[in-house]
Amino acid sequence: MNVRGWLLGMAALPLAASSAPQVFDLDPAQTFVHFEVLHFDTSTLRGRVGPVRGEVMLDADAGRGRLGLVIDMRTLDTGFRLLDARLRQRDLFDVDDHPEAWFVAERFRFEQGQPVEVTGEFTLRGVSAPLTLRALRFGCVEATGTAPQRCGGDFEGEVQRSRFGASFGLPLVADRVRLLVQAEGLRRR
Amino acid sequence: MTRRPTLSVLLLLGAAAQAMAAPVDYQLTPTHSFVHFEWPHAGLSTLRGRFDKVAGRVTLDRAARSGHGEVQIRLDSINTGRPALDAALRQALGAEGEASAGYTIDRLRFEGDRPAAAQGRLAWRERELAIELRAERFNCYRNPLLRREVCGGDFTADLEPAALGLALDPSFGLGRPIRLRVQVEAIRQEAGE
Repeated sequence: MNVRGWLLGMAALPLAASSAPQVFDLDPAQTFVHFEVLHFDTSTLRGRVGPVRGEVMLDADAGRGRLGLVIDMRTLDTGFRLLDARLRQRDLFDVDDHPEAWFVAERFRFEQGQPVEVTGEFTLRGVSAPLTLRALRFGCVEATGTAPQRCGGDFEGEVQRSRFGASFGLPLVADRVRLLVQAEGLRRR
Repeated sequence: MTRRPTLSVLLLLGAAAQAMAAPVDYQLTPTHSFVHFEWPHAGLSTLRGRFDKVAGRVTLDRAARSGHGEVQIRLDSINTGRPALDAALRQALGAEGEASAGYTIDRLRFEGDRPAAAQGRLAWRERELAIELRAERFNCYRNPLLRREVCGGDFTADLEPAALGLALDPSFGLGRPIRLRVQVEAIRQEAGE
């Protein structure tokens, strides 16, 4: 799927008469993906990717939503350059050949008007697989003066890195990778 | 008739106990030692950052269930991925030149044969703060690349920004508390290293 084209198309979503879809642009200062993977069953290796760009449409009344995120894998940062260089190689994130990852989701579950779970397709290293992100918290800060409404929260998900072909170091560095997503969006007026 | 242990048996027992209780030094490895932190933002989400440059040594005596250590955290290595925030944090911390914060581990509290918490003092500039880091996991293993024993784990503590002297511009929207998530792995040092 061409993510950029899909994102542009979202702006043209028709407004249903019975509900009001709200479109948010992700705030690059507050939208990052962190990952955690267990190293030798001993300690948790963490890294960051982002800022993440994208937009989210929420229609709580209709119980639906859509989101599209573009993740620039060249921003990968663990805090140790040699490790970053290793992670960028072909048998891990393969950043030269696949500089972007995407998450596109159209299955939203709401509880009491708030998104609690989002399921979509995650593409990493050119491989696509289903991914579900669960909301650990979610909220909104109402618009004030010139500042638009801000909504966001923390989301977590899990992937098996071998599923995407990022297999170096298995099983000493675990297959299971926990994703921790900080995301905040500014409502488009 | 009860036999008294001979002197030689006592000496042997003493030597064995000493060998088991020998303290071992470990040096933190920069690839797997980071002080990460989580900081609530705008009441909505969690901002994550870390100190990239962490060094130090820990002495562990697993048989005697004790330990101590000294860890240095370079203040200017704070890294949230947001340059403006990093600059403000460096200023608030007084991160000039190669200034470091020192975390002195006075005591490792054991549960069973593993450290369950590090009790220590964080000192930087004119400040000092007692911090107990709780172990979420701890393990020792033989690293096949280094061909040495490595011990490490994940440790956590909740801190108040005010106790750290972090009075930031409210426009950054950062709340409380700050949760530290410390990853540490340390390589066994042979005598004299």
